[in-house]
Amino acid sequence: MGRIIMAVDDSRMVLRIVTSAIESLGYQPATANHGAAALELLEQVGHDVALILLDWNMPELDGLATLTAIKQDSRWASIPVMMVTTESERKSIITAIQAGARHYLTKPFSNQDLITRIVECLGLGD
Amino acid sequence: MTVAGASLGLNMTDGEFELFQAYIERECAMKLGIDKKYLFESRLARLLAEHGCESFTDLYRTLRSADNASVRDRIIDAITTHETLWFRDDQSWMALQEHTIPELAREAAKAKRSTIKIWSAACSTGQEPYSLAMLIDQFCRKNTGSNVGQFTITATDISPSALFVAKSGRYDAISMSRGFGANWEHMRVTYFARQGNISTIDSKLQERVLFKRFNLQDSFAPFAPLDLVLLRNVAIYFSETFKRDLFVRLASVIRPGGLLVLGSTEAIVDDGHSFSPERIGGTYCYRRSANGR
Repeated sequence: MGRIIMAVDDSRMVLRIVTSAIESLGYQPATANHGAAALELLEQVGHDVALILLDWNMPELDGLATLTAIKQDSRWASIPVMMVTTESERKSIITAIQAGARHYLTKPFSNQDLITRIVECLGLGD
Repeated sequence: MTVAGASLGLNMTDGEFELFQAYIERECAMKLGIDKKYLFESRLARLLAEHGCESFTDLYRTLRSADNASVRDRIIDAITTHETLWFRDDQSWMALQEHTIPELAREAAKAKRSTIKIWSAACSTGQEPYSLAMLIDQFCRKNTGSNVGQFTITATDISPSALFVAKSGRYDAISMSRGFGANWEHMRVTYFARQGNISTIDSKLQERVLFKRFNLQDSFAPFAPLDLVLLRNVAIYFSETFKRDLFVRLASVIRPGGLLVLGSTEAIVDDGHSFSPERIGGTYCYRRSANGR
């Protein structure tokens, strides 16, 4: 299993929070602030990525387009993706599921919720 | 199971809520009212995605089919994970530091007991038992006659993911910023090594806490006899019937004179007069009666 968790979000504050949570679990964070940057980052570190946390609303390439691109690339298709959406965007998860997301987290989330969700997604507590 | 997006039911019907409500009550004795429907909806909706279910009814069916332990664990995890912080409720911790821990040591010495057994009964990500371990360590440093090895702390929770974090003893800056009021700031400095954003609990302290997964519906017998139990901010989620049963079972494993600490807004449901409320410092605890049932 990879040692990197990628976080993709256009909010620097969210990235700071997520990075901190990733480090607390002993994983290495890799961040991008929009989807296109995330796909470029995958080219560099994709082989070692255990999980991708992907925001829904982002400039350049939004979360859904990025998720679709990831799932269509056989090199990255098996990496689990957690979509991060606001409560008002919850219905968007239907589309995300169809595009291959198998986890999601609703904003606003608590730090503890974020950490335990990552643990669950990676099956660390099993 | 295939996903038909158009019919994916992200809004939980009252009937679906009742199914999960009954299930959670059966599995972990938590009685959540209809006012908590939003919690079921938002926390269980993510499981629809993970299990490719089309609706909450579908998720329930998956859960019930073939006694699916993995789905069960995920559901319990999703519903029962709660926020916690370091030295939560200042008055309780002041009472533990100034009165309870010294009393436990004194009583154990008087009775020539070699161990003082403490149970943190819903420890979540570990803040409570580690806070306690810090207090005990401070007490033993100041009181040369005391022996830190005689205190055993068992910490349990039903959530495997919360326990994973607790056992790791690693906390990020946000977790470390929650709690540690003015009275406890020195603990953060003394017992954590900080590297970048991450603070790691002192390994000696970590070794003194035994973490275990445990469902409060199961027998407490393996923990007996206990000198102190912390069951804070948990009983509020339980049904009245389960609470009564819980306190009866706690009374059977806490030694006479031992103490039970609840959350600052919680009160005991005790039909058997097994516990007496007692003001200790600025807070109330419950003492196991010598002659109660």
